Amino acid sequence: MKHLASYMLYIAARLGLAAITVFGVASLVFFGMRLIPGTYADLFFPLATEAERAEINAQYGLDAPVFVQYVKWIGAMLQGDFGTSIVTRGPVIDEVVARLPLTLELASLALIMIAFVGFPLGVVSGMFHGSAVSQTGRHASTLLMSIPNFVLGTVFLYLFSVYSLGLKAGGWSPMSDGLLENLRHALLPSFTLSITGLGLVLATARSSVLGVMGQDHILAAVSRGLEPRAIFTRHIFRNSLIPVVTIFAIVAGYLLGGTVLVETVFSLDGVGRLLVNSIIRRDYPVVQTGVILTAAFFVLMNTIADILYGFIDPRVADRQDG
Amino acid sequence: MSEYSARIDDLVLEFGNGANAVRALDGVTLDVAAGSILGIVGESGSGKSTVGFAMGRLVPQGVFPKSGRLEVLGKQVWELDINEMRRMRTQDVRYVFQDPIATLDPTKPIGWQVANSLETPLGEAEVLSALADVGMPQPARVAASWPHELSGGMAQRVVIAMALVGRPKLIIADEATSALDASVRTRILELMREQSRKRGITLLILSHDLWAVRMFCDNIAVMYGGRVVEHGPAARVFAAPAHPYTRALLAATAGHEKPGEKLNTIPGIPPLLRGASPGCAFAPRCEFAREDVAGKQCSADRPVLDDKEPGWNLLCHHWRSLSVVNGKKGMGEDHGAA
Amino acid sequence: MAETDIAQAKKAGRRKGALSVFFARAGIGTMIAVALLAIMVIVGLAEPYLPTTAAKAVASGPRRAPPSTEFIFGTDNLGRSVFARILEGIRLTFLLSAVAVFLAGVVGSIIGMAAAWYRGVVDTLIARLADILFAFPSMIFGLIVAAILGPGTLSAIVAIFFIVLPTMVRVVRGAALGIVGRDFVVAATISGASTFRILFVHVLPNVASVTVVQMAYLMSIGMIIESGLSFLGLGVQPPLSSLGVLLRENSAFMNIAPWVVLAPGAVLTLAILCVNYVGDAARSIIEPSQPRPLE
Repeated sequence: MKHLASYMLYIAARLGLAAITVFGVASLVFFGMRLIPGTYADLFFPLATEAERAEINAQYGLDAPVFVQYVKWIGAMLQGDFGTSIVTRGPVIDEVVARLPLTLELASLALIMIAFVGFPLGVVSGMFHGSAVSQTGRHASTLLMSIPNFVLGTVFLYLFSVYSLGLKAGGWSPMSDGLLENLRHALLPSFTLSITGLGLVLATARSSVLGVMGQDHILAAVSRGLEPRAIFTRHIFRNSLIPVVTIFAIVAGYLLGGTVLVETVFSLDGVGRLLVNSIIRRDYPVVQTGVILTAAFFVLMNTIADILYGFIDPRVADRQDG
Repeated sequence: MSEYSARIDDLVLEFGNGANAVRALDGVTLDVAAGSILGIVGESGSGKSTVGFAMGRLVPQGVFPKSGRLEVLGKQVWELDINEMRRMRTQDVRYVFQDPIATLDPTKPIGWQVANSLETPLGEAEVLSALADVGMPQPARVAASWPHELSGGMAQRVVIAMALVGRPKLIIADEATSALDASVRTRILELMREQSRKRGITLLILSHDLWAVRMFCDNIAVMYGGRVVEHGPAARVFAAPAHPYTRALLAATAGHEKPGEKLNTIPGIPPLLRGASPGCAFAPRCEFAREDVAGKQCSADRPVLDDKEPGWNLLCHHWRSLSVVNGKKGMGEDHGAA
Repeated sequence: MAETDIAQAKKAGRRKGALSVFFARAGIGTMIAVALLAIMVIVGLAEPYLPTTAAKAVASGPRRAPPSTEFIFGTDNLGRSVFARILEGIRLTFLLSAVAVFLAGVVGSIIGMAAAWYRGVVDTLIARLADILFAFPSMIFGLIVAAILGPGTLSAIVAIFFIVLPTMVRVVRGAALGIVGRDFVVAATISGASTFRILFVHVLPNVASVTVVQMAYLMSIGMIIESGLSFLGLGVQPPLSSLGVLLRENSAFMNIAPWVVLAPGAVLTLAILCVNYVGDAARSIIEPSQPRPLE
């Protein structure tokens, strides 16, 4: 089948492009970090003498030309070696992995809220164009996108320390200590994390549904006497998913970046806060690794969105030009 | 079954409200004989598409006629409840729109769309025979493909197949061929004529393609300013148009009348009506407009329908004097330069 | 003749000007947003000359005084007027984002037009570079910039610049692609106009409206990035006060003196909200949508 073949080609092209992008990200970060004055030896052993530093630099291969260092560094990363933390002197990857569950849980909960609240609200708001529901949806989405999550988080911190309502603002309880206790801690930060994405998905779903309803094939479906429910399930829904899928990848970016702020507000020990603290402590190997891994994850999300996009809209795969 | 598929009596339809209201139809009167092929021609904004949409009540919610009646297949369209209306759209009145590829859902295969063009899905055999009926050489292959993989002509055949599976009594083709190449256009028109004759379907061709109407229609209705200004047998109207607008229209395209020629060569622009036209809507552009014709002013008195002969009527205060006084004038020689 | 009439009608429509169209279409919400935004911009520009500046000094009043007629939003932990510091915060938050977004608009327009004009390798290269910048979630990119340049105002500007740049490039490239193929550009090329002249005389005016609307949008992103970085302690440094700095410094005192956090938080949200509303209204002029609801 012609279409299937071009879809496979499309997937391959997307994956290739993602690999190139991640490689570009890593390179940009590597050379960007070289702009910071001082070598690793200065950072690891600030009190060492000049001779000792030269020795250390030689030991870590830091006396080699930058390009050689770059190739070695990329090679090490491909084998899962992301270097050593200046602060803990342990492997960087351990630092990140230890904090990953918390961050992933926050992001997943936020994503669930966005998908199951933001998206349906957006669709409803789009379907009833011109009504009060639709106008409310429009204003709500703008408001949600305008509240910085750290402002909302700070306000929550205050409100819920006064009136608890069973929810905990600040602090963490891992899932292994019981799901209920875990959710009591996770709900406020993950909702705080979700608001920008919530607004964005609401707005996108709304305008997408509105746009699809104006398309000729919907008029044609109406002219065939289909009931609104059938028109929605057979024609509007799938077509309106196209931009929403793309926006979900962008939302993933907001969530990854947002964890930095939300974890700081709620004093949660996740990857985001690790990054901020590492910058302040000048623990550059951790910063470098955290940034590259986050960007790689984001690129992966975008690639999945592109692949889904090609699945939902058969035109996409056939239209590719590079 | 009545001898008319549709009867429109002095229908007035407005869109929008208050100061923004636009009068799309300003008193349309038109009978569509059952089983005939009627071509409705007019410039953009003349109201021909609105007439087509009104027959299936495809208007925004809450829009009702200001006055007049619209009867389709023996039923008053605006008196049906929504379920009856939907049943009529499914079973009796089907549409073929301008851009066939946009008319098809881009995210569904063709076969699925043909199967689901009725409330209850069709079986595979029915889908394939429906596609074969509209002259698809490889129905199975077409059924498995996506809209964007089809040419405009193929896609329009699919849309026609989807219209025919409902076994309708009336098909409204709204500029159904104007987005197609000239060679494909003829074949699509032939297909529509052949199928509607074979199945006894009344076919409405809304078009600004005069050539298509002349070649394929039994009757012609000319619209201007939201009214039908002349309606009669196509062959005779084309041979001797009586209304000044029809004359100008034919004259403007005479000589370079080719498939797909657009109607844009008459000086001036058609009116955008905000309310009832005070007189004849064509008066400002009409070279025969008078301020006193048998006590009537073209710009101030609304013309009423006048029968030229049985089955041929028009809206003009002084068409009689024109055909006598001016003889062949209006057929093109004098203002071909316009 | 009919065509001439239409052309004239169109010309008359265009002569009305984008601004008058904007205000003719604006609803009451947009009008309020425009008014508030205007007030904030004026206050921001005039802030150093306002009589409130004195109250930014430490111990201008009692510590953590609740809102009163003298201190509208109360005072902070060091006895500074929260209101006076918010005015400075408005100035800095708007100024930093505006500078960064404006620079990104200028640079992005040039790069975007170049991509549309040269196509081929140049276009692909620019697209890949934009992809790489897009691959960073914006706050994460802000972090790396702060790591490289060190925390400070410059970091905030550079971060915003690079975060909004790829969007700007894509938007301008898309708009310019539609213009480059038009007859008047082709005519200019044939008549031997230089590339510089074609891009800046013929293409730029036609993509300018898209650029400006996009800049309005990116402005709100810039404000969120700036305040976020400052909140983390990586952007504007105390004693200067951007709105993010105020939230960071004061959040410790939220429980005893809620106003020190609520006031700057509300002002920041309101400012971003106004920018978003104005951006929305501006965009709806460029991309009017007319859905048709049917039963």
